[in-house]
Amino acid sequence: MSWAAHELESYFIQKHTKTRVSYLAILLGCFLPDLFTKLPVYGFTIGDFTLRASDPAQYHRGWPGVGFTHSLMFGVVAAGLVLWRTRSRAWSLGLLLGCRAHVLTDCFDSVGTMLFFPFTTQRYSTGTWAYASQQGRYGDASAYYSSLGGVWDFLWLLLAISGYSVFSKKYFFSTVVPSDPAWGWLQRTFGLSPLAMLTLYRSYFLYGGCRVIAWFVWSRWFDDAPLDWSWGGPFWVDKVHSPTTAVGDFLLNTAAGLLGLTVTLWLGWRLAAHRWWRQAADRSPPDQSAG
Amino acid sequence: MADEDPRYRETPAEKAALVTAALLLIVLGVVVGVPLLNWIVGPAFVITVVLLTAPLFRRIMRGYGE
Repeated sequence: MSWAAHELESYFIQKHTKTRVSYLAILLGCFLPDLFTKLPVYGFTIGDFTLRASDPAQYHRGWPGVGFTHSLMFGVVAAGLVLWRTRSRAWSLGLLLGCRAHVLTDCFDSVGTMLFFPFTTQRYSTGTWAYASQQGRYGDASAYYSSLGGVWDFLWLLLAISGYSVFSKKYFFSTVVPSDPAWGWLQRTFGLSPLAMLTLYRSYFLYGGCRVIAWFVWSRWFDDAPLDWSWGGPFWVDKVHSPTTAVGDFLLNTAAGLLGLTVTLWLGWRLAAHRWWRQAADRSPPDQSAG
Repeated sequence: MADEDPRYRETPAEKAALVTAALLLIVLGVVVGVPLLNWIVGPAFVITVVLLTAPLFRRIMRGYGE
């Protein structure tokens, strides 16, 4: 899924999480699986130095590679580390939700994600649209916004807009800020005005929404890419597939993955996380003076 | 009522600044190019435009109001 849609999903999660959760942590979680890994996928050149993965799909989503960032365990580890270091439930939960959303929504392309890594390297993919990162940034965008991926992005845009109350001043200062001490810290450290904080909060919606529109317009009228809303499209791009697995192996891998994940989560919770979680509850409420 | 709280009231100048930022983002995204407006620069651009243009719109609208 595009970065723009990952930005938009953060507001949807914030709105529908019925407990105290940090918006900034959700946003960071939505970015985290790609944050340090996406650059070599498209590649970049500085002078004579070029950094580009020889097999972008394998590097990005596979093992060996950095595909472990697109697993359910990655979010758990990130959230666990944050809970351990900060004892903040709002941040830990936000990171977990953001990472999970990213990993699950990336299952819709033709390469998919290794949901149960490290217990299995089985990839899970619905193949709704073509994975085309190997075409470079522009080629990928052109293919994505000519396929059902573009439709998916517009759906996220509509979902975000349908919950428009999350963008109101009132929601920001009465719900978002009190849920997260980081806003108070930002205000104190950088001397941010209320308008600057509010705009920072809204900026990823505005940026994500406008990017969806801009990329779509660019693909249609500047790149002249033909629209193809068939399953797995667009037809004209050389797409990458996840390796095919026999049904029996798929079920076996999934069972092993589910079992490994469940046992690890249970052990992690029993041995340490429940203590950190309880200590986090003992903490005083965050600074609410930002509004 | 919380909606009547002046802290929560959206001013027309702030709305105009947001619309300006959105239009600029779309136009720049389509015409100028994409890698420049990445996930850090893009939102920073939105914040800069809103913070710079909101007072400008406020002044213009106040001028019309008088």
